[in-house]
Amino acid sequence: MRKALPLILFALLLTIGGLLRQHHDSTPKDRAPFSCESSLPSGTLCERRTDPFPHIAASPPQGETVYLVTAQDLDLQPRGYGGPMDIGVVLNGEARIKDVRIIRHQESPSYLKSMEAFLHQFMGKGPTAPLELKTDIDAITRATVSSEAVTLAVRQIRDRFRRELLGIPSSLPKHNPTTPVEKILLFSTGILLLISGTLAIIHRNVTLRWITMAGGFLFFGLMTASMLSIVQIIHIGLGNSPSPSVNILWWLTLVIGIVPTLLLGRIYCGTLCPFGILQEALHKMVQHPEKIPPSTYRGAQRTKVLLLFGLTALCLWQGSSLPAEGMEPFVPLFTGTGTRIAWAFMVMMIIASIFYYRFFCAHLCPVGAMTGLLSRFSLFRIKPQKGCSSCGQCVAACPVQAMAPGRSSDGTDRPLEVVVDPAECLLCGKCLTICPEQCLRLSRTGIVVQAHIPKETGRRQRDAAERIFIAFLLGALLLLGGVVGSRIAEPPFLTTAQDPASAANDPAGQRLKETLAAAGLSPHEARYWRETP
Amino acid sequence: MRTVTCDLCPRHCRLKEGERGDCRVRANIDGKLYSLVYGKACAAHVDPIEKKPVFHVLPGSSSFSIATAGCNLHCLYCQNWQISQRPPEETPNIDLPPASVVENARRYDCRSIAYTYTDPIVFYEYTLDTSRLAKDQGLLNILVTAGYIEQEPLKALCPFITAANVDLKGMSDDFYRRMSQGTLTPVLEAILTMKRMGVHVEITNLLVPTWNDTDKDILALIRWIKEHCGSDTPLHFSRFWPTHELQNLPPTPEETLTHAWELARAEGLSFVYAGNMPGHPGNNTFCPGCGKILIRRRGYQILSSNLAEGTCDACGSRIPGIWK
Repeated sequence: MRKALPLILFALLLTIGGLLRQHHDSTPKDRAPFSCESSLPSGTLCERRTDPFPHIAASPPQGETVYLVTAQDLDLQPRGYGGPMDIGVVLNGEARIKDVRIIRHQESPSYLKSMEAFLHQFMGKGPTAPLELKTDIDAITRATVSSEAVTLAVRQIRDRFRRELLGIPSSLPKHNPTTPVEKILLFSTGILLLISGTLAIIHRNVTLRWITMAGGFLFFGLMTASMLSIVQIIHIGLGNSPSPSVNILWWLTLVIGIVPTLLLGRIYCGTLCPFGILQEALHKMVQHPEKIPPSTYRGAQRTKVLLLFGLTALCLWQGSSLPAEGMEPFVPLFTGTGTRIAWAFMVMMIIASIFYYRFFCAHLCPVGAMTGLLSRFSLFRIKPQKGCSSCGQCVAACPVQAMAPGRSSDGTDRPLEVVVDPAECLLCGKCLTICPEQCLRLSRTGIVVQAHIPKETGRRQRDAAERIFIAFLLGALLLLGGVVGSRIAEPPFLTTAQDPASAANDPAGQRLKETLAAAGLSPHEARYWRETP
Repeated sequence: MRTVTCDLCPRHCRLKEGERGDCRVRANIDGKLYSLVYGKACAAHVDPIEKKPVFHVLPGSSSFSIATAGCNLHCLYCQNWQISQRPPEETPNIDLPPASVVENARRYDCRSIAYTYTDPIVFYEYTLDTSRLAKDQGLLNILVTAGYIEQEPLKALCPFITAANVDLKGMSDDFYRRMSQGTLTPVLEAILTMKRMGVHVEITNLLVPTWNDTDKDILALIRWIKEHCGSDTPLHFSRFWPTHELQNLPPTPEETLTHAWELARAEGLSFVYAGNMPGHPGNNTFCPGCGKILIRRRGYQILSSNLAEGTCDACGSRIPGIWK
């Protein structure tokens, strides 16, 4: 039961928090009107019409009348990376697209910037343009999800405008952006990499592991830029998960990240995550033989669990995955999006990984924390088998100290049982290959062995490696605070509601004046009234 | 804390400081009554004058049509509830002071300015100043209203108004109360005042299935018009279309519309129209003298005209209205 407690707590947080948030979001809110005077030449005459669907007809002083239709007007809900968004399409009288704009979104500013050029492609597209990715619209590099959602919404708006306002029937065939063959190919590539990674561990094959890692880096990193991300988990909590028919990669990473973890442990983290692979490769090139004392190291490993819980709660409270975006350095690295501070954090993590084996994976990655929670239930683990000589070399070799024996109550140097902590083990295979008796393997059963590990006693001097390690960790946390902090928005339920206390102090007249000033309305003295005692 | 009473419309809202009237666009600010929408049009469009509908004023001409947010009635079937039932800060507004309205009307080649969509009564000061300016510059002013206004402000406005289309929604106080949260009498008085002050008045009646489409309802309306306004008053029966809070009802059947049209003609009204139904014979203007089609219309479109300076070119009957 104790081993399941963190996972149960996390599941509760995700479901209850998510449900509360979804309930809150489902209460209708008035939205700001699509203001056309701000974006059209002055003197433009705008009329909001409702027939056959809500839209705005705008007649500028010169030129043709244009029509503004938003996705929300048509009850469409295009979904961006950060959550639902609303887009507006400006069409002329022959259903030619004059402009496409993002009206409401939950995307990061840099992501939105990458969208500008993408949206520009729609301008001037005629009433019969296919408006399809790969046909006449190019997707945003590594942001296929939002590109598809926006393209589909623009096409639906254009088609409904054409059909219902202009009366021209739609003759275009329905188009599926990812063909079933592509889906099968994507999925089987992922599964193939997973199988080869598993075989590498079973057969203690270091070369095969590195080949798999190279493949994982290429496939999950450079080619598809789809990595298991805490953002996905938060979107599940928020009820935003995309349909598999729309975004197969989203589900592929989720399945590949979670299912094998329940079977073998953190094989995704150790062999498939492209950022982990990059870190390990960098560390291998430099090979600093540092060893941080277990008390510091094991404590630092818990940071990621705190981050996981904290970020999840924060995101659910905000109703957006925005705070969590950018704190995963693989997102800026492989998708090319992110704030400057997120990029700085990514660079810092890469530098840290040169000196400390998978610094981010071991101490900060919230996805790692989550797979850690799950791997406590893994069926197979690395366990010592018959023939062990209790040499303790495996314990010393473990780069993430997952084999550091349990706490010693009296702090003395005494033999302790050798157990792999599945929450930290990345299945890198170092212990498997270093074992002189080759008696460690992935198994459901094992024997109890004890090894002599020197325990620290009393206060000790921190060495240089440990000091730098702590500095890295603190620096990283500071930067992370910046990344997350820069994304926190005032939650809507705090900003829209009037504070009752201040309302009581605030005279009605003052409030009215503020409302009018905010709306740009200047009162004009009226006729036909009298003062009433 | 000074309270003011607005005397513009029959509601006479009493407003404490910071409060707005029932129309949402007139408010007590620092003990004075202010219009919040003066020069702030939430809709401005070039429409055919037939859309108002006004059929006896410069047929085929364009009318520069403006509206602001707000309304002093709250009709269940409001077609423009997105602007009429909203405060001005929630509608997309453009700055369009009276001089700009006139300037735009000229630029878009409009012979008239129509105060429409919501109800010009609630943007009274804007209407008054604009219509005065427009009249000075030779433009006509068209009021499209439900007529729910006090006599004194109406009388001050009438000199500038060329023509009005008044929506006479029904012939009972009960209907007005249930449909619009208003009353009937002020509307009837407003129609008579306009007539008396030389405004060309056309009356619209929206036929709503189960609400006001019985012979009794229709006849009461026809007879009141005939008796008090004269049989040469144009009457538009308009087809209801499910909207706003009356989405449960079907659109007015064509037969009902035709029946009302025929009933009014049989009762002796000379200019009866059937609106919101393009192609209906009631789109046309018939000569009361010889029965010939004087203006052939399809919807808002003029197909042909046999009018010569306001008289039938066949029998010479004079047709009331403004024709040039």
